[in-house]
Amino acid sequence: MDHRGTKLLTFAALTLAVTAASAAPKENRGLSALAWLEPRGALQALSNEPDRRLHVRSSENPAATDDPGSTKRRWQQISAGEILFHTPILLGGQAAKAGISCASCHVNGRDNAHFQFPGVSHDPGTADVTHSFFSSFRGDDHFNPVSIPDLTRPGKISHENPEELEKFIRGLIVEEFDGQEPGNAALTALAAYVRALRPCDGCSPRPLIMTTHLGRVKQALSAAVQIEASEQRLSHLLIGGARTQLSLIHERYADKKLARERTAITKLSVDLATLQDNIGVRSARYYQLHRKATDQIQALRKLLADSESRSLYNPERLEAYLEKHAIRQRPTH
Amino acid sequence: MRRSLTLLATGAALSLSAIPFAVNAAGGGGGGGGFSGSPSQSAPRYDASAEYQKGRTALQAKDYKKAIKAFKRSLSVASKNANAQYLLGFSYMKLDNHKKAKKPLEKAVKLSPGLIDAHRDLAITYHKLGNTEKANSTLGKLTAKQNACGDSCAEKAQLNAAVAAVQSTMGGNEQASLQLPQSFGLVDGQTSDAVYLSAVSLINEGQYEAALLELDEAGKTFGPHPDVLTYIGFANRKMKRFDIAEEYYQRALTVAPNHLGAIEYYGELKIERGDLAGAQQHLVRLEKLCAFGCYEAEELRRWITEAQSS
Ligand code: HEC
Repeated sequence: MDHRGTKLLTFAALTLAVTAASAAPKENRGLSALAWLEPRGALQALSNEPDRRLHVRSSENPAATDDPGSTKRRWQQISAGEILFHTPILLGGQAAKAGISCASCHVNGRDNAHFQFPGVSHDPGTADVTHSFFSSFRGDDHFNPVSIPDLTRPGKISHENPEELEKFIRGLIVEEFDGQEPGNAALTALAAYVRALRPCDGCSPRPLIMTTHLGRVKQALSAAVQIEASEQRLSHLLIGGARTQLSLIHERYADKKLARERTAITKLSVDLATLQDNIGVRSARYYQLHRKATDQIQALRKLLADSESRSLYNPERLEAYLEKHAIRQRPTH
Repeated sequence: MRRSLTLLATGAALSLSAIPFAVNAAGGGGGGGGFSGSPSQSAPRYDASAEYQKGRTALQAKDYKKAIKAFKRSLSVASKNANAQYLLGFSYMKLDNHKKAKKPLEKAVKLSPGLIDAHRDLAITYHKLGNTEKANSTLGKLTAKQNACGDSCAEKAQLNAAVAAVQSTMGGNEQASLQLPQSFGLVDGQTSDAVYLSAVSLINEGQYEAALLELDEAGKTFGPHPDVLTYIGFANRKMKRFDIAEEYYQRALTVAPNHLGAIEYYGELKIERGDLAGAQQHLVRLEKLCAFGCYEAEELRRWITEAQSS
């Protein structure tokens, strides 16, 4: 009891951003990633991403690669897996509420030197994924953060063994993070993505720009429409993932004068909610809505590109924003 | 069952003391003691928990007028908060205004019959106002509690001290100085955060009675805070005290009409009571508040889907 008391106290002193997020409507809550980025690394982490390399491995399923249909299916799985990897509602509980996804820790499948979540991390780049903060389930009493591994490198978990990776990921979602049972299709997709990750030595980081996020919206929608009829839960998660990416764009178009942009972004997200409601109805309506959403993305891309320099995708604006909000977002300890 | 524990884990680890709860930034939502589906109504005028905490700080600084102003503001939003009623009465007593102290103290003991300090101060107030009959009957309630408590209950010392204080005042001794009871006075924000968080952990472990005791303590520091109220509702719901649960969800939504957790849990309560249509309304409201989706909406939708298919 006493031990737990002190541990919780550390959370208490530090989790201000999360409190604010849970109490207030999702509008106007600032950049959500600041909840888990160490302040000194925030600018870097919010303006760049490590480049990614994905590969359908032949050694793992030699028979399949000869068959173009099978390779295509594999890429579809990888693509869906990449979206799920960026989707907080896949995880449950506190992580989901804070907007944390797999990619918050493993940026583009790698590590994240700037990840520092109060009570979950010690040094930047570490996390205790057996912590009761995320789970009522696997939480142990020891605060034991370890370095977040780069998933493009060989680690403890075999990627070759047909079942091991899926089992591990399921355990992460359901037990570490208190998420819902993801279902086989989602697990297959996530594992396909993790297996496809390759190191990218010599690649330089890519700037994180509006189309990084909007591109994922599009990717999520195509992935969802490919599997809509057969996998409703996965479909729902993927469109949820698209909406998350829209929220990331929305929070970057924070300037008072960008109200029109924000309205358009919100509108698309609300339309995607309607699309989610129509999953499994098997009506023409679903495909109509889907087509409409795809058109909206096109229009949105143009609208947003015109004012991107005034958004927080512009590193100079981002820096000014971070300076202004640094003290409020994260008290120094 | 496991699911329900999980739901709670989601709200854990939140600090209450460091920031005052932000009363809806956007969209508003109506007060008035009930769940409101209309976002057009205006937000509460004051942050009931922040005002309460201001009042406590003023009390500690012996600025009773300022304390009274803050507690009144808090009560203007959350009139059913026994702690705020009590501390308002206590502040008047410190100003020797027993006439004004009486009403809030009466409300405090009515709202929270377990509030020993409020009984003590109400008995003293009746005595000062010359109402011997009511002073005696209030003292009687305290001695009855004392007898029921026996030798071993947790509140024994507090009860003994309260009875002695009343008897001493009624025996003609002027109370040297009326102290702010320890449970209200000495706890700092951080300690109370720990109490609150341990309450949430207890809920996760299914120890609802113990959790309620700790939430009660946290409430003395934070006053009508929507997170505390929501968890009191949740613990009661898990103990199948649906009416009490509803009452607390409503109180949470009165002080914070857009509180996502309260809207979700209240919706789940409606499902448990068979009111699927009511739950649907909560989902509609969550979807409105979370334009980009949120976990609370996901959870409530799952409850509704499961209820529909069973
Ligand atoms: C809070 C940060 C965090 C999040 C979120 C997170 N991970 Fe991890 N992940 C870690 C850490 C830390 C480890 C190392 C654990 C250990 O070594 O015990 C790890 C290990 C792994 C491994 C094993 C690597 C190896 O050694 O072979 C895989 C695979 C993995 N994570 C995938 C995922 C997936 C998929 C998700 C989303 C469902 C996810 N992670 C979400 C922090 C995180």
